[in-house]
Amino acid sequence: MIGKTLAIAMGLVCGALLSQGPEFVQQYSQRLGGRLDELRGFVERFDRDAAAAGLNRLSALAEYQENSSNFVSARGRDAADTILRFERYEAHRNALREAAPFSRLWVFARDADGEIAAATAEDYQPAVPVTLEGLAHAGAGFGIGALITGLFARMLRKRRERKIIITG
Amino acid sequence: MSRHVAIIGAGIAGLACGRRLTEAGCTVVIYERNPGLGGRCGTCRIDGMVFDHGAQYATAQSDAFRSYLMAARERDQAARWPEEEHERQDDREAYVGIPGMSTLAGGLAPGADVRLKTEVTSLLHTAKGWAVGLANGDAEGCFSSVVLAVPAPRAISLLPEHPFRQRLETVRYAPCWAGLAAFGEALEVPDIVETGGPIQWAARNNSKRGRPDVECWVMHASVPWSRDRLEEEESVIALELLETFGMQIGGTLPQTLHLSAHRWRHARVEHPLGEDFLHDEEWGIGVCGDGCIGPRVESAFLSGDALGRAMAGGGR
Repeated sequence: MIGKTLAIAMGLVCGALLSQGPEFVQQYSQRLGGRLDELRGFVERFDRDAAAAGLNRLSALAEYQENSSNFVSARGRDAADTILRFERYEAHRNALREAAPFSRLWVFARDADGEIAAATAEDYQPAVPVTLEGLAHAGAGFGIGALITGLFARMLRKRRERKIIITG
Repeated sequence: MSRHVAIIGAGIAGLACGRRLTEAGCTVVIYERNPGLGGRCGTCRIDGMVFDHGAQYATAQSDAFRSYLMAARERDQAARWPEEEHERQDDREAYVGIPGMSTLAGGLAPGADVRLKTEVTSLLHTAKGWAVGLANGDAEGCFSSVVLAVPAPRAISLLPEHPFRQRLETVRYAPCWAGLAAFGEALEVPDIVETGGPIQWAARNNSKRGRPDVECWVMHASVPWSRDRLEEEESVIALELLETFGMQIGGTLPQTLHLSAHRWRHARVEHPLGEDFLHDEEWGIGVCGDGCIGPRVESAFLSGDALGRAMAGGGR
């Protein structure tokens, strides 16, 4: 009886947590888009300047890399970091956009940027799951939580029964 | 005999198979997800620069492929490379396509119905035959047979439940990162640089006949290096390959006009199937490619050609 109640309670908790998955990914995506917009200006200017010199993005970065001046090559490293970060964010944003609704959480978990995820968590506003995706995650969370708790409770019961037989 | 055949993959194997089937009177449609022919025997063209970023050359051990190369040479679509003597592991005459390696594939398909930039995402086998599902949501069919001329993992992903899936799971490939770089001046090194370092092969692409006179280099990273970095971003790899190349040739590189990288997940067959091809006449499925025979352009040609003959002749 207690086991069943506990399983239902854990199911509700897990369901509530997992139901927030789609909303969290949505708020993460918005923040990711914002970071992309911040970096885009620099990358577009860089590409324009490279093209004017008859270079593509990477060959322009290679120019910095090959330069003998420590100052210039250090600026090049900064530029490379910025551009590579932009490319990574863009690839991640596209992957999230193209993912099917029920696999978006997996795509997020696989490639999430730690800093952006932490910032999202800090400002996170929970929402009631009114979409099919949210409800499905809630259902899945309930099922997983109830199942794990039920299995755990059964294991504990079996151990108690074995102990009683041995000592009885 | 199959009458209406869909071939997935417009590499050497798929086109060789298609050529045989067309000669036998079949209607053949070839689907290719990339913008050009050739697959891993392809050519990358960027702003007037040409890079053979996959197979660097082809050699012939069989009469059939030698005849094909000689015929291409007669049409000025192939040439020896390098023109002067250079020692290679297999010590055979090497040929390249003109103006790019993809011409060796294109020569197999004049007038063929090839649908470029058309990715096949599913195959459906019905009582009437095969339907081909495309990435844009359309479906085309009905085909009496389907040929998978793509690397084994992709073939497995498209095949329905069929014993060929288990057979193809034994095929193994090695990956390779390819770096493509163009320079403002000629490098003071030979046309081919083979070292034991992270870049196992680098070649001056414009030393091949018919290429524009721009100092273009293709660098192929070693298998261990490529494996370690297979999921890295292309930009990171391109910069690292360039730096490594500079160190390996022991000189300062001139101004880099272009730099990019290409990831080949299934660059080279390490463990082939051990058969020329797979063909199930009852189901109307065929599989061909270098994954069947071994890691050479010629292997892809022979596999596709043999499957085409078998399907046309009603054999196997």
